[in-house]
Amino acid sequence: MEIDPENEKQFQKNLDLFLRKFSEVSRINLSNDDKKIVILQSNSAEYFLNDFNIKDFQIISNNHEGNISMKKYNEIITLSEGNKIACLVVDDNSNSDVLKNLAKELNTQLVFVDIVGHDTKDFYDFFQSISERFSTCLQ
Amino acid sequence: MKLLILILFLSLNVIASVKVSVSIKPIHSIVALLTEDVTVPDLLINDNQTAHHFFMRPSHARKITNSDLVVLVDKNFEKGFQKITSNLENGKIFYFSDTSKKIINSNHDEHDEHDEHDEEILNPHLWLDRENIVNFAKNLSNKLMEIDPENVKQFI
Repeated sequence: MEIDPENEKQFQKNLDLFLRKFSEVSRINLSNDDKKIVILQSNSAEYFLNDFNIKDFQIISNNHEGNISMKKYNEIITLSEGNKIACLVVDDNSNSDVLKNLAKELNTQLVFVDIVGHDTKDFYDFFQSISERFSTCLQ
Repeated sequence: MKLLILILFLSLNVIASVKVSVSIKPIHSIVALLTEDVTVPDLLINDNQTAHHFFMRPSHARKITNSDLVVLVDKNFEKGFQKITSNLENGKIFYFSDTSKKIINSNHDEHDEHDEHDEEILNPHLWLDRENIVNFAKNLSNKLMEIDPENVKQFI
């Protein structure tokens, strides 16, 4: 295939800039020395937490509906007995009453993580905002 | 007058550039940075819809068929686009998942109380892993560099 030399140059320039800037914004230190358990509304942040080697988390459901079965609800409550809970991460802003009640019962904060980046200006801002939310959660 | 001609020339250059459509916002944000000063990618699923539950509209179909490259997360993720993307020629669809080295499969628990229906499916939130992001950026840039500008002009 023929390559447009002008665009090729620009694409390469964009890629180099992206890799450099992304490396800067993603070079963050997230740690969970106290082994606190992060409760996730859905599995969306599983990649992020694995990437930062945060292994102590519990997923409520693999969808974003904010539903939670009674069985799972009780499992989380049982888990909280004898463990420190970092926060309850929600990824939709619907403020489900069930999740609010769960956070209250767990005596923990509800942290909203926007996994789509509705209000962020670019991808760097998006990634940084997620990092900051998890940093807040783990404090 | 010279300024007007220059603006017209620059805008024609943008119009003649490769047309890229991207399904969801976070991937679109990456593609927008990678295509800066060459083209402006279209976002298919806007802020009022979710990729899990959306209905394909005629405007989606138009954008997809007019694109030189359609960037999606995974063949099983944006299910609403499956019918139209199945008619696209090979090489016009670029899946984020094809470039991802880190893949997590999860139990599909739509029917939480009926464990016998559990099945392993891809956790599609691949854009939240740094290595996946970097691999996607490198591979997509290579793909964009490959697209033949002469063919692009024929579509206009």
